Amino acid sequence: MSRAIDILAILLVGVAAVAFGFGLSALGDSQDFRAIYLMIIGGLALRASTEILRPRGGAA
Amino acid sequence: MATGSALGPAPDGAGSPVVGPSGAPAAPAPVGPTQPDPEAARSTLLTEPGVVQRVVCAAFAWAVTIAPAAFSRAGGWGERSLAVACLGVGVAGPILMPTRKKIGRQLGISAFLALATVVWLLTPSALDPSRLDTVRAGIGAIAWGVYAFSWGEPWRFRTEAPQDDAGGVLRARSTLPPGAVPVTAAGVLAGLALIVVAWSVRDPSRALLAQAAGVGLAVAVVSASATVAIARAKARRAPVTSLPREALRAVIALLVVAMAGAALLVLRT
Repeated sequence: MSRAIDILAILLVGVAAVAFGFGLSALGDSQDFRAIYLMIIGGLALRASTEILRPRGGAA
Repeated sequence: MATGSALGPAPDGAGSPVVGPSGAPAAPAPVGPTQPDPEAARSTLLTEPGVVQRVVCAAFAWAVTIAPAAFSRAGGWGERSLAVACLGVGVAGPILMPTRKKIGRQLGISAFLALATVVWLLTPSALDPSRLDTVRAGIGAIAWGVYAFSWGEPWRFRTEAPQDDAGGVLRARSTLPPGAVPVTAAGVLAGLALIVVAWSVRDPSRALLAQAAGVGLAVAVVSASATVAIARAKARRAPVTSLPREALRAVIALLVVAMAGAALLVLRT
């Protein structure tokens, strides 16, 4: 389970990077809606990736 | 660092060991004040930490960003002379650093930057954004970054830190989880790729926004990848059987927004 969570976190960072890249590309192509959508996806993916590996409060 | 001249053979054959009458090596004869060998001094100068790295970095930054502007059609003889002078001070500054630190820094940093700025100001047409090559601009930015770093702490390949025999060996409190370096390196590469994508935006009304967004997104990706790379070790301390509630919420929010946005995109098109 731990390994799967690790892989999911790394995958989410990759998804975020790809979404940001396509978002920037859409921004250059004047596709504002698509750009904002992809950047929100990237931001949420980054947040999810760090939340997944955050140590739990009870363990400390 | 003056070992080059001390270990080199003397021109009059004094480098061979002198043998006394009993066959044992004789004590070296007292030597008076000697004239410094210019050749040895030059080689010693180049082995001083930081000299070669600063010369190479200044020449690299000059070759990528200053020379193309000055030696293009936009530059005349004046601009070319200034560019050559710029290279001269960029090389002379680091060479003077071991002996005349203040003058070396003024030449290598202040004069080099001032002359580079003057050359760029005199050749504005060569720096027009429409004529600027994306790859060359990126290499130029890296070249100036490396130049700035080269004037920081010199790179030392051999550390001679004082050893404290009384103290014990300091051990790290924890180790990096396996794969931490590749994950962080991939994040750095992704960040660089984002900056390159942002630089490829040609529309002038959006280019600045795209570049600002690219830098911010690159920083976010690099810091998130570093956090993920390190946090895996902390998460190992307790057995993980399921996703934390906050993480579950974040993943669900991601999925909901992704699907809703995709549906909206389809409807709009």
